[in-house]
Amino acid sequence: MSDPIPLLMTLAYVAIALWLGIRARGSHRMDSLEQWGVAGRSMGPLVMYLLMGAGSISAYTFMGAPGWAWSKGVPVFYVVIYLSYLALIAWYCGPRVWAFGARLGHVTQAQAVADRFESPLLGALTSLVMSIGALAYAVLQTIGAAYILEVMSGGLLPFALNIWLVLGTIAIYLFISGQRAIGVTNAFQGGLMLVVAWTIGLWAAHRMTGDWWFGGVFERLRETHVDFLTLPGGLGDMSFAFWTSSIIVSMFSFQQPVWLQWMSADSAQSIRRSASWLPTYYFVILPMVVVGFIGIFSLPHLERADTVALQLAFQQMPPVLVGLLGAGTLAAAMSSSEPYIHGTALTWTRDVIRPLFKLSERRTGQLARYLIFPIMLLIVGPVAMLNPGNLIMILLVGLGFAAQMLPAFIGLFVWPRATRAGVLCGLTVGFIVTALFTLVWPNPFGVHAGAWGLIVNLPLFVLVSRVTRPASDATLDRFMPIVAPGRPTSRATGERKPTSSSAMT
Amino acid sequence: MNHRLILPATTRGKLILALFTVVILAGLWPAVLLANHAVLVLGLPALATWSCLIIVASTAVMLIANRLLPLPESIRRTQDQPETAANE
Repeated sequence: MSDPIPLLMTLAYVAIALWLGIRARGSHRMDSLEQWGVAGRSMGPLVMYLLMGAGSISAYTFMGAPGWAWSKGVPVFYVVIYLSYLALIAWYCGPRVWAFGARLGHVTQAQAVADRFESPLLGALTSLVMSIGALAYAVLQTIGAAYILEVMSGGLLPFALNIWLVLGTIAIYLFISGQRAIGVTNAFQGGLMLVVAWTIGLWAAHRMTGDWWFGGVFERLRETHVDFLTLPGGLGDMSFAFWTSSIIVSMFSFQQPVWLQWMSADSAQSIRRSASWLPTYYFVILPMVVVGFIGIFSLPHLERADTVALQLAFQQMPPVLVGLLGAGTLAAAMSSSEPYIHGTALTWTRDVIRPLFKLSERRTGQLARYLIFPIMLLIVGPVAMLNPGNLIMILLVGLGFAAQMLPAFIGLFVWPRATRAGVLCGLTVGFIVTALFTLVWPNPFGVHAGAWGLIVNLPLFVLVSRVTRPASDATLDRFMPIVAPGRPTSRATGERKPTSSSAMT
Repeated sequence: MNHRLILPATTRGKLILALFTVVILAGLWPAVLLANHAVLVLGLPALATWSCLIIVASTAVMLIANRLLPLPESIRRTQDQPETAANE
């Protein structure tokens, strides 16, 4: 290790995150789902903005996105688009989910599904299906974080040790402060990432072209690699079909941590405010993508595309910027890993273990905290140490599976006629189709496997829902004032539920 | 019970739904073909600028929606009227 500054800055970031995470608890007791799970529903719009932004920006932004730019070109921008659309979903669904929590006492998304469809089985299935992709994602981010520490230390800190260093740090503040720690650390990480990405991107562009903007980089790219400026990109593998289906599948995958973020807001209005401005956070991706494009000229013979930003930093940037990049990348990885571990522990306890063993609310809250340890020790840590080459495949299958839960959310938010049987049938068939089109015949005709699953899942869901019995009026009566305020409760008479507002969005 | 699909009932609601739909369609095929050219706009590839425009448009439609469709009281004030979930 030639210069200790990058490592020291990266470790300093870890120490600050740990300190903030522990302090986030304040004087609150953390043995209830309400506190440990959703921070007592206390987060204001600014924290929500950074929480939602940082939670959705993973190590992918600092490693994968520059790597995609380096190897494919503009196809990388599909991420910016689907993240912006996720904000539209948050704007509509977020306040309603928050109201589920405030009025109906929900914490997890599986709890809402179980309640709406009067089926603890469907709730448990939702929990388990969503956690496949969530755990794969947490493993990927942990691997990314461990890799950063290894690179920053020049190999002094071995990969295996780094995995446990990262997980240990997260475990401490997650156990002590739960969702409050995620809120505070993600807000810090979110701010740090914005500063780091723009500093690195502008500095790299200035060094290459002499300008403080990116125009010179792309003018040179147009002369030498014109195919990188349009779809299907430099590798020719991002067809319009794959671009479109990837955006659709990604924007409709209601991830458990996102649900918990909405639940953690101090009001429905705070979610709307933060969601309204959330797309602007995703400008953070632009400068890092430019770093990848610069790498096409500076580092044309890389073995691994996703190392382009780090390699460029080590070769061309002063140690302080290298340290900043290390801290920023580690922040991105940890801010994405921790909510997925937290969310999985919460939903497994609340939606699988509790109904199975008839636990009390208090006991469930206590158990959820402790469940993060077996999840880290027995799943995330060991799988990360194996560093399986097909983990991306597991993640894609997981996200494809998660998308198959869409009918349950359609039933929650827009279609009262949706039934438990319809969701279960659609989910089962969509699951099988997604698995086949991921593992056996990957993405036929260039369409995302999860989209194929939905193509079969949705019509089946509608068909079965039309011929099976819907949820009871008593259940729908509790949900309708939240999802459709002012809507007539009876189709024939036009009778309205008494609500204080008739505005229906 | 009214089991029909939940759709906007007011003109403002319909307008916002239309705006949301336009913004979403703008990022997908075939609209994205409009930006799929090897030209630079504001120093960025056309598709990158298009993506940035979608960021701005997404933000703009939500800000407009906030003005036109304030959150219903029944959602804003739910904290004052808690119920117990059936599966508790």
